[in-house]
Amino acid sequence: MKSLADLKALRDQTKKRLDLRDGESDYRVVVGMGTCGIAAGARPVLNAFVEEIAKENLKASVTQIGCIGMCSYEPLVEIYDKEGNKTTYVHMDANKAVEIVKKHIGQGIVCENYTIGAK
Amino acid sequence: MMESLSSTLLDIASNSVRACAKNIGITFVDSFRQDLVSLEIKDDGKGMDEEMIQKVQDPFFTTRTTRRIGLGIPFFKEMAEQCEGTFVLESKVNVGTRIKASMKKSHWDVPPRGDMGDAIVLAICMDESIHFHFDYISDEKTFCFDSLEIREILGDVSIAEAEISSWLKAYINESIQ
Repeated sequence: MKSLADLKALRDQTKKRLDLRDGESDYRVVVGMGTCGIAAGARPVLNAFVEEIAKENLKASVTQIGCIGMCSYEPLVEIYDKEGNKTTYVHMDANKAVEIVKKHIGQGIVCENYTIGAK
Repeated sequence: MMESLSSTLLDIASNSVRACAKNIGITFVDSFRQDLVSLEIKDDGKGMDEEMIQKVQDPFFTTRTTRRIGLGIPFFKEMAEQCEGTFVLESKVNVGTRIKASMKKSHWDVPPRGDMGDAIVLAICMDESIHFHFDYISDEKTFCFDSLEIREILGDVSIAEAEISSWLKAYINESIQ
């Protein structure tokens, strides 16, 4: 059984990891979490981004946003680079998220076939 | 409709976040003895007047400008009514809003719980400056989870960090089994 006492130790461990990885994020990942996004399966997509970014130890933040306005393309994810350039990925799932973290966030290569332009 | 109670919870809680709530209280009751499943979300956000309370129950209304329909509250209401349950929506301008669905636990159409821990943690991650309080009540136990208590332990580390959020989700799910 987990107890909140264990959380303190985990917090200290996480703090150490974050201190090593200091500096600004290279990418900002924004996941559409409106009614449409949630119903279409945005929750596992969001979690896949968070977990994979941590696993690969990459510098990127993940945030939630409400409806982006293109509900039929949900789950929708926008990725902004440091210069503010936006890439919109559509009809996302957890597997695509893992691939996008590796290629786009890890190596800077946009996964064109998953973008809105490819639809 | 949403596939689970947890997705419904997350969706309705996001209304509270957008209504600039400082405090959000979520109560989830799951009882065989009372033949009851209920989900209540209470906030101290900007609230709604009578006209708005009626409008938000209509799927062809939304406060958003990105699209013309809003399904969150209509989904919530339909879920309750489909399960021979009741739906309550009370709100007061500048005071807050309370929304509650109560259903018969034995009814076929009560959605599964889904990943409640995930929904609670994701709701908190929407805005970590908001105080979230979650109460779970079943026949055997009660459990409460308060974001202030967690904030105090974490200090300057965000709840959204991968290790922290996955630990908290597992902690909540274990506690409400």
